[in-house]
Amino acid sequence: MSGLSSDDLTEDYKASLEDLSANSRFEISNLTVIARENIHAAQSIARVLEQHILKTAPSKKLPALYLLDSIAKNVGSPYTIYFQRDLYSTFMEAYKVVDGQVRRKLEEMFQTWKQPVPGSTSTQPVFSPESTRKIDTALIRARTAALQAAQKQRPNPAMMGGPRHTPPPPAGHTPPPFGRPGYPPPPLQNGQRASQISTPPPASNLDILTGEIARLIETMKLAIVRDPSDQVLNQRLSALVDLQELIKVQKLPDAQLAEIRDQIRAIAQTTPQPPPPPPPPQPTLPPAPAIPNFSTQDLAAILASATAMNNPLPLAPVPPQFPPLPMSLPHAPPLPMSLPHAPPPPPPPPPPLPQASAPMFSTPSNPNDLFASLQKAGLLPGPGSGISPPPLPVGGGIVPPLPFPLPGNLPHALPGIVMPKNVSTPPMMMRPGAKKLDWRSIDVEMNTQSLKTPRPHLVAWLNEILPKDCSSCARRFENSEKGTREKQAHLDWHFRVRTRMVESVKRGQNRCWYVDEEEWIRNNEEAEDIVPAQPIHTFTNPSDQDSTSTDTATSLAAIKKQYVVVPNLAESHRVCPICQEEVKYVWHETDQFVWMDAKQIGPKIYHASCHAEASKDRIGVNGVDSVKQESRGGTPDNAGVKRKAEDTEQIIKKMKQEHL
Amino acid sequence: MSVPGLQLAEAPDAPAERTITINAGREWCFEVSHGSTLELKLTHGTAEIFGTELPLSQKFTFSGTKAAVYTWNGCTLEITGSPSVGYISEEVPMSEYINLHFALEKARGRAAELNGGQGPRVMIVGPEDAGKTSLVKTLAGYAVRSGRKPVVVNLDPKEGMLSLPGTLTAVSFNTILDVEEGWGTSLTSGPGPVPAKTPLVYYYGMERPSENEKLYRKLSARMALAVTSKLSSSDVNRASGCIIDTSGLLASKQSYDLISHIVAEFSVDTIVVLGSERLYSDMTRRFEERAQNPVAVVKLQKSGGCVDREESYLKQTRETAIKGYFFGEPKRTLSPYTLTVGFDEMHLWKVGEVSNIGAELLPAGETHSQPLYSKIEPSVGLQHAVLAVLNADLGDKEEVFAESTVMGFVYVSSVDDQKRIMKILTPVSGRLPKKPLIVGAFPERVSNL
Repeated sequence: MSGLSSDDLTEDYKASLEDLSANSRFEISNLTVIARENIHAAQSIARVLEQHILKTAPSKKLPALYLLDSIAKNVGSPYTIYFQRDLYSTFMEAYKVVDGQVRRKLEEMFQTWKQPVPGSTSTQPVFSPESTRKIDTALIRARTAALQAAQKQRPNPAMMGGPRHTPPPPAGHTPPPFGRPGYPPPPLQNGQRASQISTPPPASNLDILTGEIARLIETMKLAIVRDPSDQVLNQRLSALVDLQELIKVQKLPDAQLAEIRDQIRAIAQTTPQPPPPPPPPQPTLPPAPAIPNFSTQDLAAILASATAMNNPLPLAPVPPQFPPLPMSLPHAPPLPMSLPHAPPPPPPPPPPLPQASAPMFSTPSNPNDLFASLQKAGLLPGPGSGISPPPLPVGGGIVPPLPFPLPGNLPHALPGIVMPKNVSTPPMMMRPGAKKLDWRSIDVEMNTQSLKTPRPHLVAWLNEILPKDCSSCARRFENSEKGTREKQAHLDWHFRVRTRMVESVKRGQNRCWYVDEEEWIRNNEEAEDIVPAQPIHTFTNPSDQDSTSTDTATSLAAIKKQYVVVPNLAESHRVCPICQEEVKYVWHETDQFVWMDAKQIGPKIYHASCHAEASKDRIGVNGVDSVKQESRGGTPDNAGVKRKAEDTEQIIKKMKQEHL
Repeated sequence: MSVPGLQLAEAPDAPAERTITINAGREWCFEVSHGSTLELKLTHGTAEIFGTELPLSQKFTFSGTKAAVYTWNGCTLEITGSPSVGYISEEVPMSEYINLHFALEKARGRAAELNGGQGPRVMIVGPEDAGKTSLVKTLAGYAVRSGRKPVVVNLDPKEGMLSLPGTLTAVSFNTILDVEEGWGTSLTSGPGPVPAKTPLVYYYGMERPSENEKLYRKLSARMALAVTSKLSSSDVNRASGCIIDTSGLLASKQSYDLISHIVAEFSVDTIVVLGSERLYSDMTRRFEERAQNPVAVVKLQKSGGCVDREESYLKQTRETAIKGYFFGEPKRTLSPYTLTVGFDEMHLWKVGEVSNIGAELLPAGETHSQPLYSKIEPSVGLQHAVLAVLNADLGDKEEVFAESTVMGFVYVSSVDDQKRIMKILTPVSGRLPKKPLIVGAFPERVSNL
């Protein structure tokens, strides 16, 4: 990318920003790296980003600001200087239009700007005190106003006005301007609703710890995705999940929290390597990142597993450019000097449990067991740390403060989940072993009497047939090679859909006509979500697809079927920079004008065939490139009803006659 | 300095977040009115909504819904927003329902092994608001969870399945049901968070099967043909069988002939009677004890969570369905197209209604014969009507119309009698297809689309 001219670069950067709609670790780190590598264009990149933050839809402001934060902390000068100039308006304009939850995240992020970048030698804060002071004042006022309003206990319709200075949304941006007076702020994409901003509580030890655990769990899951057979990791993960629950339910004294946190950090340093000796405690530091380094290759894995999580990924640490300096603070293990310092990733929900234990919850025996299992997994200091065992919980949900772990060596077979005591453990949870379910062993007959007899063991069978499930939609898969393949394709599908839904918001979609009888009967294809995506998004018939990889002629045909949607008919005349001929546009089956045989690189439209010819060896090698390409020129999802290629051609011809 | 707009988030009705713990074998019944929303997240344990599992930590948003979260092993939910009703019910005959599922699984397993063996074809009957559709959803959800691809048939025109009310539909489920939308959504031009379903849609255009019984019979017979072909099209479909949902209005003596018709057309082999002793005994006499092709008849308890749905709620649900067809759901916004069409381009028929003329006024020897359809001319009377676009040719006979599926629907937003044009909303761009357009009396017109 560094070879591009400054104009192209900013244009491209702008386009990438448009795609930044979720708090994606991958995208943010990628954009940070681009910013770092193109310091020569720092001023224009900074301006593009500021403009983007100003203009983008409220739901996209948070990731964009995280990016700003990431660049400021990881790249630093000269970006910080450029950002600093308009920091107040960049931050406050965004702050005004987002909802309470996002505001809290912004505030958290803002707090870190007043401190030095952790791990760096500099004692200078991220942004100069002059620039942050103004924001600080504004935030204090805002909170006071918020409190007063909250006390009034009555919403004032006139105040529902939202921003008055919001710049108009950029042309061609379909989401309606949400900030108009009389409209409540839009719900965020993930359905969060505006909630009350009371004064955000200062990040307590507990909050920090919770955030760190959540991040570590994410990290662990990524590691497990890469190496699912790693017992140690699996064990730790479940122990961590338990710990997360425990912390939520019980109130632990600060000192203990700090101790747990240190352990967590130690683990974080080593995941996925074996644990080193625990570092000395350092409880007074600002929230420290708890994410180990990922190499660049891992990013691909992360990208793939992002789907599995279905959670915005925590921010990606950029591989450190320099080793931690020896004179750094009494900061036990060297932390990657990177953005994890930024606010914790938005919703830190209790993540899904590892599959094995997910459907098989047991109620907790007691916290002692949990601590024992945590110790066993190496998450807490072992026996003999001179801490007395916690008392048993008294009564229902609320339990007294818990002193620190006790020695114990209960096996970590079934990690207990802290659930209220009154949830009974029904016998139906018994796993009927690995026995394959055969219809002959079903003892239910189709008569009223037989149906009345409860058969608790059947419940487990319900999930036994397809034991693997997707953590984001609970679709189930066989425990076989086929099931693994389908699940992989399914996870990819989730990822693809998420990317493309952003696109489709811009483009608009519509309902299709229903199919007729013949098509309905014939349509026996596998569901769209378990069919692996084609490497290049094309419109081909199935026989083409089979041979694309081997036959050059067909693969060329496939390339020629790539298309790019024409965003604006007024600017539909494009000349391919390679062959200098016009890239023709047609009315496509997907009800839009498209450039056929086209590929978009930055603002330019190439003939896909020319481009493929010119860069033969690059196609498919560069993973990033192909992902981007898919998100730009992806075909709408028509997998349910595919047409034959000749049909498509005819339709296009027909459509042309009708419309041109 | 003033920061405008900061007060807006302080509305005191900020949604309350709370946690609900449900013990094993119980369900949490909730109702969310149209216009308000409820967010729900499973934080511990396992839970399902009508047979479809809820994944952990995923947020679901409901609006205009009456549903229930059931848990086999106990669970904790986190909800945001206030449901208009929310209580934990203990009288859940879920163990009967799961037994029914496994009885069906047994039949499916057997059918899969036999060459040409037919999977179970089960029909659910029962009075209105007995939980028929919920049971059908549960059975479909369990079947999908077991790797089957059941065909679900909706013969209740009062509620649409993946389509508008007034339709009869059949869908082969090979992906999970959408817990937020009930069934899911039909195919759109773009991606959706849950794979789209492909319904086969017929338009009946009346609320009650008895209102134009001839048409109802013809449509259901035609659909049975399509479903039978579908069931024989692949081994998975064949073994999975079909599940038929019926109208509560069939549960009365006058309609037993219609039940017989459906049983015969779909080759139903199991009838499940929900919540009516009398219907059960009648069905047993009529089908189980008959000499030829006896049909298994079983009785299931009505769930304690069943609620009567008021007409106003149903009406709003229909309105939401029509809006959803054109404009999409909150998760996926659709952009319909507006077209101006001349009166001459529209070829309209109305679903035949019972004549108002009393039988005594007819010429001697003639009886009322209710037409399937009657041709009508475009007029102001069509304002705000939903028209079904049939997969038939304009020259076809009305008998052919009664065997045709629906391509889709258009909505008449305004009619100009003077200029002889009307503005219509179509889901798909391009011209209005040259196809017969059918106007029905149901669903009723929606003016504020």
